Amino acid sequence: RDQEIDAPIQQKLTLTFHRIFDHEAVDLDKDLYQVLGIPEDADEATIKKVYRKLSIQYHPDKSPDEASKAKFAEIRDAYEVLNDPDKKILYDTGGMASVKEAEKGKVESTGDMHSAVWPNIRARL
Amino acid sequence: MSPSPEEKSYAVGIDLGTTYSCVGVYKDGEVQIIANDQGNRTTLSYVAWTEQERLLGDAAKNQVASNPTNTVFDAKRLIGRRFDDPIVQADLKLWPFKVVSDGSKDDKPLIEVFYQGVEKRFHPEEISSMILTKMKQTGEAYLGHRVREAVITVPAYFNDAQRQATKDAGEIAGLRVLRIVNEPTAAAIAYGLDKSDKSGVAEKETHILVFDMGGGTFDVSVLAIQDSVFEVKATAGDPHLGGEDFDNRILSHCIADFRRKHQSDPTRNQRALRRLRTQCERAKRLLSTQTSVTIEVDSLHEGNDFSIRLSRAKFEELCIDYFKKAMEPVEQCLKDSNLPQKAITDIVMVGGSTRIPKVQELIKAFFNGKELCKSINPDEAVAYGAAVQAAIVSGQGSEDVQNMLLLDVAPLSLGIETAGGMMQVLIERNSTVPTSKSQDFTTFEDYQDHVDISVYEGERAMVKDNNFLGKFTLKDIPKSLRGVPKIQVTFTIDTNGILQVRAEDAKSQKRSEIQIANEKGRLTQNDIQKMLQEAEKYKGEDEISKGDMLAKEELKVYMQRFEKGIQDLDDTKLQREDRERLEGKLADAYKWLENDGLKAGKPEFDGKQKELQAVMNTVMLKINRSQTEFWDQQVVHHEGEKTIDKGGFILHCGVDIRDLIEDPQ
Repeated sequence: RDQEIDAPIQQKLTLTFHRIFDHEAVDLDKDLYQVLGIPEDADEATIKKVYRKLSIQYHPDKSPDEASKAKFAEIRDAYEVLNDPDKKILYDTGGMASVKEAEKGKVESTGDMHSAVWPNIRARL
Repeated sequence: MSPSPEEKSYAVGIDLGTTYSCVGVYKDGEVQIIANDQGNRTTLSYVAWTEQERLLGDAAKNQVASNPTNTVFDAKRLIGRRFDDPIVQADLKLWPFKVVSDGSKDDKPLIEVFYQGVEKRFHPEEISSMILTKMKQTGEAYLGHRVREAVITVPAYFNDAQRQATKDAGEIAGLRVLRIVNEPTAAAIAYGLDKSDKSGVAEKETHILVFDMGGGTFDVSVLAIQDSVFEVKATAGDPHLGGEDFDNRILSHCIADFRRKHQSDPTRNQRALRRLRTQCERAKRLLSTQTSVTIEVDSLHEGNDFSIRLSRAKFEELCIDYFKKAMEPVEQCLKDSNLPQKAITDIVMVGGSTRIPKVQELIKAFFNGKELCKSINPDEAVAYGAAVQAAIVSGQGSEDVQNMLLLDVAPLSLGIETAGGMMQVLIERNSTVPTSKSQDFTTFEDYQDHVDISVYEGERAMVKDNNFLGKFTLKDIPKSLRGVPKIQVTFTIDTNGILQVRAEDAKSQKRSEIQIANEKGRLTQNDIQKMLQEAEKYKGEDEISKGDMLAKEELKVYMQRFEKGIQDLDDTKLQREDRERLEGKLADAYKWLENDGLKAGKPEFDGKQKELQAVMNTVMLKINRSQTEFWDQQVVHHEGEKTIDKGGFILHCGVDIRDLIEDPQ
């Protein structure tokens, strides 16, 4: 029985998760409102308007230099959180850490789905 | 040949369609859609090989009925796909040309044709490159300048491999592909410019839905437009749904009817199918404006004529499942963009198939009777937008255009395979591009020294249900217990929507990366170089065959004049033996033309003409008349007439044949 599991396992289970987003720990303190240069009570329309204005300035189509590229990435990432009602609430209440936790939660739940396979592997190890 | 610095070069926008292509350029503050040499603003995406030459565009389609197996179309339905792709397998049955597998592990499809008696095989990229070459030439003829750069459009729902392959096709055509742009996004630009011309640039945010149904593909996109920024919110569609599917339904209907009436099956008769399909397509078009048509083909198969009356209602019945299926991406797109139906301010219809009344009716009903925007040309909007994007990216446009910005998205989620065959998404679908996302992974076993990273695209939880893009290995991970190494995987999507994946071990800083589509049936840089050379050779061949035919025509014209010259000389001037000699030479020449002339080239034709000239010269000298007088007489004889068909000296190509004959002085 073990052998049956063996073949697919060795092919597929060479990778698994571990402390996802750890490398982004430095980013956890980032103030997204500051990135966009808007007050914390800015409404949806303002967030969008400012994002688009900044995009015209920093998008690689307009400024191909490396500094602008990095700046655009920062602006886009901030907008992705603040423009998503769910993520925005998480960010407003618990900061970037909460947003990441939520995403990480998603990942871990994926892990649970194949936990059925895991005991077998663990037993083998 | 390097361009001089002051030589002008334009960047064009090309809508590379399944059935039609269209080219536009932004010039002097506005977009020009460029007509081809036939005067058409769209060019058929057809390539054909005849005994003598390669034909592109409209010329290729015109001879399809007589040469169906060597006339290739629908390359867009093959590009970036594997031969064993079920969609390719289904299409195969309907194409009159032959498609085979290249037999490699990538299982790439190859299109097989006969050209000058030799079997030739082409990648879909090469076929597309030929169409792109045609569009490039159309642009150059209009602009009077070289065209070196282009923005090429693809369906929004094209996957990574299909985008890459389209970009490769551009390179083979000798174009620097500035950008691969999504078709509905390009159409939205056309709409946006049209709108801002009329009402000024909108300060307020508006949302539009672009419904793009062409000959072979179908896309829906929702965009937000504000302050000349076009932000794509969501996109969805079906990369294989369009007008040709409707043609096929009518075709099947007709075949069934023919079988019933004549108890014979025309499905193996390629020529019959082609002729019938042409009539089916025509009927479909007519049914957009009239309520019934007659499809008629004389002597379709085994001497039987075919005729059937098709009503619009029957056509709709034949295709209704397709039409209904087209509403699903609309719903999906609205859902993904988090917008209620009423937030959509305009519904923009693009692509020929949006002329179908039932399609319009269904989408109108979906939006509770909202009027559809029809102010932009559905056939040209995509090329129009591509031309604007070409101007934006190459910095050629006016200030208005330079202030525009396009924020496009990745149409599919991208991720890697993890334990248990699960898909771990790194970039979610509808993420704005360019973008880059990283996640950390670790080893599963103790002392594991390498990891395989398999990359997929798609929305399903298990990778086996998604589309495999490629695989690479990160080696030489310092040995340690499982869970200790930290491997950062980074996905980067560029502005063309093309993916790059990188894996890096944090401790050893060992790196491994792939430009993903390299792995999956994509042409290597080497292949592209080879095809580029092949295409250059073809270009040469095309010119050679043009030169050959010109020389042949010149020879024929000379022979006619030679004959007339003999006739015009009466017996007092021309001795009988000389007449016989001249007539004998002429008869030989005609014989040669009929036999050897079929496979002769320019040097042979020119040689033959010189031979005739020489013998004529000697005879003329003998009867003491100078060649000049002889020809002067000919000129006088045909005075007032210009072209050769009227007995003059000017070829249709504008060449004066007298220039071709050596002056005896």
